[in-house]
Amino acid sequence: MSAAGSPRPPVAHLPSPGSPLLSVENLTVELPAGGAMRPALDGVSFALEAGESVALVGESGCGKTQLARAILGLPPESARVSGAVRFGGRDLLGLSDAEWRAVRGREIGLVFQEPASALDPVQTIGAQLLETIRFHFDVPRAEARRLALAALHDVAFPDPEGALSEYPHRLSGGLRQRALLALTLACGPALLLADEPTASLDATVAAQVLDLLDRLRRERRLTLLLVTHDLGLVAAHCDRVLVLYAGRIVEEADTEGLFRSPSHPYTRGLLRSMPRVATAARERGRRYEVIPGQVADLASRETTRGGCAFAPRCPERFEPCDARRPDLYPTVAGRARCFLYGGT
Amino acid sequence: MTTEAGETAAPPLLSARGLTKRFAVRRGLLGGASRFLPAVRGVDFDVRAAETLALVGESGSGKTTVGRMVARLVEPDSGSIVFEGEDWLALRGRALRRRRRDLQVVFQDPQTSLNPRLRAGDQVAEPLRVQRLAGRGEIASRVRGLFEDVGLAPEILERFPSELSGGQRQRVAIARALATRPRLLVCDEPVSALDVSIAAQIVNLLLDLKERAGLAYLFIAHDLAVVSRVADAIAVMYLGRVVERGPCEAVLASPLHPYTVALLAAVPDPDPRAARPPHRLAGEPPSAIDPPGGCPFHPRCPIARPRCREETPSLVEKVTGRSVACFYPGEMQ
Repeated sequence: MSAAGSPRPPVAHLPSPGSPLLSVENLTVELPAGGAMRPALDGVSFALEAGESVALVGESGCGKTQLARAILGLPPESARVSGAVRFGGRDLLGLSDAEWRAVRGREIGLVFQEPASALDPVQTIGAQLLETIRFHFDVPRAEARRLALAALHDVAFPDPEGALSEYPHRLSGGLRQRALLALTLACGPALLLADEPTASLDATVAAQVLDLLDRLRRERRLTLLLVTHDLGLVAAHCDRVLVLYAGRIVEEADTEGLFRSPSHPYTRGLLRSMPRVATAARERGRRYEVIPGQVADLASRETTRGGCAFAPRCPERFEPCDARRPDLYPTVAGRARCFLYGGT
Repeated sequence: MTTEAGETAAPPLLSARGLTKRFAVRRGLLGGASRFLPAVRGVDFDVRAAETLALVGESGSGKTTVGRMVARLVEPDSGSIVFEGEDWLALRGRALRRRRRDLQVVFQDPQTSLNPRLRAGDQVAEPLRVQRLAGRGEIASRVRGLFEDVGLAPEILERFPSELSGGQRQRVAIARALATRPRLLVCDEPVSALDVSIAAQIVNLLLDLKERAGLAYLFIAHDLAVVSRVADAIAVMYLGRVVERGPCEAVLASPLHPYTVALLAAVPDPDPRAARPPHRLAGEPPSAIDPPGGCPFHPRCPIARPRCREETPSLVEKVTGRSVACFYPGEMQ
């Protein structure tokens, strides 16, 4: 492993001490649906400290993907975006296309669920790594090659030299995801957005990829925003959790607190419907306690509806839930957007 | 569950022996000599009436090919399947179509298994018409009844698949499979494309249907957490072979094969204070085109010894009703 000792690019953009690496303030993303602009994200605010690993949890349609796209400056053409996304002190929403190109991929990395679609099928892994590195850094080819090998070495690619000349389709799913991680990390981003990074992988391979992310985070003080609906992953790999429902954060808490005492009825429902291995005979055949119904789709989501968005599915709904929108109120482990904890 | 000893009174609903299938794969774009991918290599199992057998394994294990052979969507190269006392593989043409009503399939992705141009109600009516199971006057009420059985509101009848959520689509697919009143449902990853809370609803539905209609399931899945709720028996597959088989809770509580131990260790535990399981597997399943010699699991096995590289262990009964293909069963716990 000759590449092991070679220098990596400097970590991109460290915030001044005491201020968060990323802060999202009152972010709203509206999309056209059912003949009107509807909020896919509705006043979302949170901050990530450097080195933290934070999970963004929610089901399809809750706005996870819109949030990731907004942070990367890639909202759909038809979207109306307001609020602020501050990264290292700058508001990203105001950047020009040229400025974005210096941030996206260089300072903020992105890993998708399906590595096959994020890698270029007609270019070797090596060519893609070199192209990415030389796009962001003015380095000679030999140096770029050393950085590429270092990146493959970092993600524990079994044969980094050989990988340079491999095409993505010749790799297994787990190795493709490692190649994509190498590509993403080659430029030393400070923040990694990982959108269901292991959903397409087998369980034994997914566990390896997540262990790898943990190690990289420790070694490089990488900040991770993990978008997932799998609470099992969150328990093992994240410091803090943001629960998103119908475009709003409904609960935020540190991981241990969230699992010990989930506060929002939606979070409690998610935890109860989460599959665990049942080894006792009495658990077999037992029904899951489920959240009835499903998230209202965007087109039927009312912009002006007064009540809590979860009220129609909520087992603990009471009078104020249909009348007013709840704020975030303090709970044992964090905050929850629910009148059980304040506002009444 | 005494699948091994065969001492139970009733014969199994479905019994597969020696199922084998290899697929020809071409070497690269320009062809060249074709090679063979041995997807399934001599698989035996029984599904008992009103019971669930889970076929568990990672991609490349051959579990989906087994399901497709049982559903007669893929013809095995060799082996036998007896279904309701009949040679299931000998059925052809009209006889097969008639008998298919007893064995239906639910796929992972209802988006692709439903006809995008048919309204939900017509999807479910189709098998009733094709199989002539209901007169013209009865079809509408049968379809409404099936919608109720799977928990779909009547207004869904008129919707197209594209207008439904993933969970609703899977319910329509289940209603269609149930229309012919089958005795066995082959479910191929029926909940793995769904959100957690929706998956839980569908698992509950499958459990209800099993109780109400006395259905048996061949439940193909990679998710041991879901399997632990639904299965009576488990067969764990690795590279085309069954490596462990037995009653569900016994296999999960005290797995005998190192691969089963590793699969269990890879299930994320929703408890942040839980210790990280010690048995993380290295590497990925090797290509089925070049399966390793000896025990197919030996390159990844933490307790492999020289013998494991030389000889292939066969599936043998170690404890009553429990079989394992490993020379050192139960050593890794």
